[in-house]
Amino acid sequence: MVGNNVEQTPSHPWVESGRQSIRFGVVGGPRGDWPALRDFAQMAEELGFDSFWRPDHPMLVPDCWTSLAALATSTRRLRLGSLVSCVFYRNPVLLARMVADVDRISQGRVVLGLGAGDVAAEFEAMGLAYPPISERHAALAEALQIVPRLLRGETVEYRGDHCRVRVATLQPPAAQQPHVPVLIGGGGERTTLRLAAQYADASSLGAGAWGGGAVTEADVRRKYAVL
Amino acid sequence: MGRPYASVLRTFHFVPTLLADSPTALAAKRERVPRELQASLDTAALVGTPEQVVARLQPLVAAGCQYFTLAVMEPDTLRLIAERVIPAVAALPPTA
Repeated sequence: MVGNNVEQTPSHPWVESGRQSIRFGVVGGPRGDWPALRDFAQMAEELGFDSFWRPDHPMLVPDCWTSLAALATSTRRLRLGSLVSCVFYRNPVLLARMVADVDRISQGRVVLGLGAGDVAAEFEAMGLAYPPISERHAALAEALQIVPRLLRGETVEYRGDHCRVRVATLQPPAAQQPHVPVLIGGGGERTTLRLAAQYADASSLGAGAWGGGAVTEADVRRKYAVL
Repeated sequence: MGRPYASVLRTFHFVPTLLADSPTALAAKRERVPRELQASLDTAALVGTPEQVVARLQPLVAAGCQYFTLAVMEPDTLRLIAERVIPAVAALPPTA
């Protein structure tokens, strides 16, 4: 089984820049039609924000990766990311294909945010089973052993409890060097922060349940210490 | 996990983010927040005047946060962050 080896490559330049300054990204944007979203993202770019992110809640807002693809053609500098793409909503090979395509369209500006999903009603609306959190985390861990490798152009064969890939290679893979950075959503100290430490370039905390409930400064310090 | 702490970017996410110059303007914006985000207003949200928001971010920066992702829905909030929050956060004393 491949995939348990810890990253040996140096930090991604986008991560490395975090040592110099506190940066800001914009998530979501206005509800409503595409031109409003496009104008808002272009405004964020002009105002100097570092990134623009789309949530992955297809029962609430337009599709995450489709809107990122459109933003890739209407922005020039912003990093474009998913915050966060739910591993249950797309087959991991198809997800990797979409991420690689948005990365190529944007000339290497994508950040892949991945998460286990936390909106039960949305799973239900789409006819998906909503397994307990331990199983959802296991599926996230499996996706992390598949998607980044596909993005790098590797041929992947994988048999897990949740994800199976018979044999797949992306042609062409993602454009970005050294790789598409991966962000993991969640501040769970037993699982998601450990997955972030093992597989990710970035960790996303928040005070909501989705972010691990990091409410106080002490919470955040403790979670970063776990990381 | 055998890799340097600094090799993972530490980000913090607020949903939703609402800024206004006055408490009155802020109250009006709160009412326009979509229904499914209303519950977050008192937990995961970043709501206030630019000065209040900088005060809210300061301890997170001190705790080691390097990057903020803010769910913003309207241009006025976007501009207030860019013009009055980002420069103030950049001027905070560096942390270890």
